[in-house]
Amino acid sequence: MSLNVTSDNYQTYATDFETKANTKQIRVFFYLERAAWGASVSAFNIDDARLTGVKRIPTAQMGFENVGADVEYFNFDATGAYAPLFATLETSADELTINGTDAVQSFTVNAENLTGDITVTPSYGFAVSPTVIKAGTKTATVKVTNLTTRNNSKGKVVLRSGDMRKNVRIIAHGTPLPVKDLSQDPIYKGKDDDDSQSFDASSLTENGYSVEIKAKTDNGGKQVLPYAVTRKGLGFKSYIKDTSMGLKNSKDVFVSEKGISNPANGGTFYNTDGQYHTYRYAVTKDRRVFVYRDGLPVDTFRVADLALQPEWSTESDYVSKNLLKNGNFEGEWDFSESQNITKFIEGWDVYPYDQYNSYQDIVSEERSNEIDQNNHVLSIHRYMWEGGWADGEISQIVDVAPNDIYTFSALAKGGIRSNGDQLGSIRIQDLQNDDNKVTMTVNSDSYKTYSVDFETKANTKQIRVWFNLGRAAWGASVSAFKIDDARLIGTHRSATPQVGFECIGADVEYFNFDATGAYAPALPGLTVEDINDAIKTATDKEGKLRGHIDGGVLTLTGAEEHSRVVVYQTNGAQVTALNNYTEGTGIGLPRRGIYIVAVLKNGRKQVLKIAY
Amino acid sequence: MRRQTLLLTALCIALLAFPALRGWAQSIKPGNTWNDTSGSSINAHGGCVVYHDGYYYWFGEQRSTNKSDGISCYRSKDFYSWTKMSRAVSPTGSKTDENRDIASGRTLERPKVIYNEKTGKWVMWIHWENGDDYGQAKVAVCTADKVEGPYKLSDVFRPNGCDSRDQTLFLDTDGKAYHIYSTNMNSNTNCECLSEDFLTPLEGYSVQLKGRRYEAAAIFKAGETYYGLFSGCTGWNPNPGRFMWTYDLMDETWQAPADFKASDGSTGINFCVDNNKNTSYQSQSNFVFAVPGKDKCFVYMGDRWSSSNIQSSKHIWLPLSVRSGYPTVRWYDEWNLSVFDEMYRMKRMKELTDGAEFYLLEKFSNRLVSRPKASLSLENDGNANLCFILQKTSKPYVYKIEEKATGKFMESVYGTTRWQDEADRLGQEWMLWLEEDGYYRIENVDDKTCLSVSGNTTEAGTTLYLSEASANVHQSFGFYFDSQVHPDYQEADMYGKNYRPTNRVAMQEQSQTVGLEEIRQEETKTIYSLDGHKVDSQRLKPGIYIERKGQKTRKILVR
Repeated sequence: MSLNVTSDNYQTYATDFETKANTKQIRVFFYLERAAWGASVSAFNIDDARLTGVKRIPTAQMGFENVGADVEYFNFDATGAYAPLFATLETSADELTINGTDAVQSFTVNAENLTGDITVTPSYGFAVSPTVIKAGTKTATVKVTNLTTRNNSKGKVVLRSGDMRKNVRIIAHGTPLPVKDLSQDPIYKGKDDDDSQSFDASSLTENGYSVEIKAKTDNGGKQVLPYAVTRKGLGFKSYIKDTSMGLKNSKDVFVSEKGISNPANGGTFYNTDGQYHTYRYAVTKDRRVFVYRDGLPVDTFRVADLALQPEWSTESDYVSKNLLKNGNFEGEWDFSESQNITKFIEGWDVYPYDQYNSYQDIVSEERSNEIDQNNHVLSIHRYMWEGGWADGEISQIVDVAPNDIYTFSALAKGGIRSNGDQLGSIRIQDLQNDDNKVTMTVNSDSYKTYSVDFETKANTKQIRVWFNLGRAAWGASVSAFKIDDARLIGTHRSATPQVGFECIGADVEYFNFDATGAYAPALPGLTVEDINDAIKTATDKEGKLRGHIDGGVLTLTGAEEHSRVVVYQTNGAQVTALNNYTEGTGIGLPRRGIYIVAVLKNGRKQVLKIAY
Repeated sequence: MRRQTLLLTALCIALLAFPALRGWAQSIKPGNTWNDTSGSSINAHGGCVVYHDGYYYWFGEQRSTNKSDGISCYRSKDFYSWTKMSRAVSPTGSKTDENRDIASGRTLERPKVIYNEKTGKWVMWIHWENGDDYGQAKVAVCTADKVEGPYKLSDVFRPNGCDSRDQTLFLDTDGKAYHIYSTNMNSNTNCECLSEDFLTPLEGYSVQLKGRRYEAAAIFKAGETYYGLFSGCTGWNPNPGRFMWTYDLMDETWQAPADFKASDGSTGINFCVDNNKNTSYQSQSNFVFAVPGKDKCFVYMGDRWSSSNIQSSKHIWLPLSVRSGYPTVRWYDEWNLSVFDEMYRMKRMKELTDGAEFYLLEKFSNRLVSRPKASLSLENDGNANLCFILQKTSKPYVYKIEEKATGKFMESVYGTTRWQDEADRLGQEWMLWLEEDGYYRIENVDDKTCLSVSGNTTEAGTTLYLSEASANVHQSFGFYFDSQVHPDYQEADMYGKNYRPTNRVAMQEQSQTVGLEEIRQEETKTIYSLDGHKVDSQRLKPGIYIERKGQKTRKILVR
């Protein structure tokens, strides 16, 4: 029954209500009906609600209903209200610093009273041991290894037990590359007329190697392209022209080659000076290419970000469950502050670099309690306040076998405009056959798996897989296009080991490679002899140069203003370098030890040995 | 003169006999302006169609400058061309304080018409509002001696005292009639049986779809199964359609499973399967009628509302199939009645027998597993559909699946479907898990992956893949046979009341049989190279390998 409220003044409304023979409960509610758009309805206010009648008391009960669940135990204690034993997940450190590649640090874990095992998961670039700690363990030691040669990297170790989480931050410094001179007795010495050359690459291994070429490319008609690759695809192909250099990414008609911006002047390499320049490529076992020009570092690339040359691909002998690099997006990515956009995602080619068209991020997203915590997904967006000039494309090129079937799958959602248009799609293109391609449109804002089989043709060498976010219009609202767990299952391809260079009209003084490891070139400044002298005796001969270290930061007094300062380890490896040094500027030292400091200007040297 | 008269007469006869000569439609083009035989746009919205004495009669809201203007009636002989009749219900009388009139200015929506054999009357129920708002939520009941009317008002009231907005009628095969309506501020759907004269509801009603917020009900029946199409509640804006099924309209057991959640929070499974399904092809359901003379062939009637110009709202008529056991509506830019000719050529197999030739029908899309390119995909009926042969193994419920055209067997290789020569490998063995509605989950004995639909998409061209069993992934396939090729095969009684209970018993038996894990542990054989890589046992080059079978390993030499 209902009582209608008929006044805008407080009135008392009352009624008797008779229950029936089987009535157990009644529902009393205050109900405000709908009106129409724009209708003016006064507020419906209620107070002092009372229900007078026979009280009912519950029959004391205890137990549980079971609808198909599995019950381990049920218990009760009538003596009082008690909290459970307090479960903790504590670590001896909140942050670790690891100095050196392959270096190890550890912390302890206290997991008293936890009922679930603890899983230990490191972020990319680190390894942990153990990966599981049994429930109830009071104290366990976790060792963390830094796997990367990156100068500086950050990560975390995530510990999880049920819904409890604990993170330990990691700061790591990679070991600088050792220095080695490759100019002596090169495998190739230049002639009057240099042609492309290739050499026996069987000595190249996954432990790393170095390649060096000294060449002159002083006009637009000259280009030299050094290259090297191991059987397992650890390699590169570079290009050096008159005003630019970089690394090739497959055949660059499909994706962009990776250009290098000259750090000395923020852009162009002036190879037009008529001089020979030396180019060193140090390829490390953690699959990075350190690029140097005339002894100075210019850039570092991940091998994973570069597709190999299609003609290098050769038959392999197994089927891979995932041919994609970083298909789960747990790898590295690089954000450009100046362009406000993520420019590099490990393994993937990013296009375009224009935040006013589209942009991409690697974001944390946990999809379920079963997925490793701190799971990352790729997220692609349209810039809302421009219609855009290009589709956003995140792609990867994969070497494939001819006449074979590859199965692609990925978890995806979004890319849907508010009017229902589905702009996100997953695409596969045969790079040798334009008409051999597939497109799967993502049709939901909830994660779903999209999968397709793709058949290669007789001449197919590579396919390009990419996530495509189409254009909308100014002001269009498009949900983020998110992708995770991308996989490509199919026949693996190896690379035919290669080392050599292509020469297009360039003058080559020498070419050399060293299969024993990745080495940095000797830096202009101190020779090996200089460093050895300094280790034995050196202080600044004129006695002006002094160094002061406070909290790991070195400052110099007595150094020539605007000079170049280089800091070395005693094994000759460069630690750091600064140009245009001014007195009082701090130089960070990575760890305790003995260092050689060189102050260089216009051919003059001041050398200092310091201890931290 | 006489010759001219004869010619003129002949021309008129020809025009009458051949509507195409008159430029009248011979097909349905959903969403296009649909004119009647006088050239005016058909102004009949949210209504229904009845078939009587060789004619179709189309009733609907007549709108004028957006306002309700009675109920219109159109008639067609051929289903495509419609002639406007006199208004079936005309606004009459004056507005009364009791709100029990159909005076001009009242809102009359969603008229539904049924015939009462006992009284010989045509009865129309209409959603009635006072013309100012939607607060009254009543029905107006009218009767007529002829199907086209004129209908006279019997009464205006709230059925069983409940608010009633979007509403429909259903005349059952046993002569009983039901009134189904959105109620409790559109939170629930009520169903009530009508009195013998169909003019009032009997006391008592069943409350269905509690809290689901469904409206725009359209009820129909195939075999012993009742189906209902609905929309969500988003005002004039379209949303994803959804359906229910039941064996008893009055039993509070309407089944409305869900695999989506719409923006209004409502859930369901969409009966639309093509592009724009999220807006039900930009329409809202209003009625479903059976095509005369064609068993289980139905037409979906939807409205593409234009809220600022309701009289110009377009009509979305599309063929509706229940071949899959559930209602599905495909999009056609243009269609005619011939689409029904082979709609049920593929029929559900009654049981799985060794050596049977079959096709796989995916549950949600009502499309057949095909392979026009490299990938398995769901396609419309046609040449790309794959015909398979079922091969029983010695293990219970485990089969091999052979493609008839190539003689290759479906195999899971690293979790991907491949077609291989027959071999004694667990990867070629498939456990068929029966589900209550007669569909099967097809699970690989070796790696437990199941045949799955990419993106849970229902459109033609959607690819299939293998994935672990999941309630959130579409993994249900029906076994169908071509009734023209195999008229000897037995068809499952999938619309009968006993179908699901029988399946439940069979499922119980299956779950109690020796499990998959035991089979797998006994027989899984994996080959590794000496450096620890798992290798494809079909591509072994000469050399030494490690074979692991269950818990045992041994070294093998391949020459």
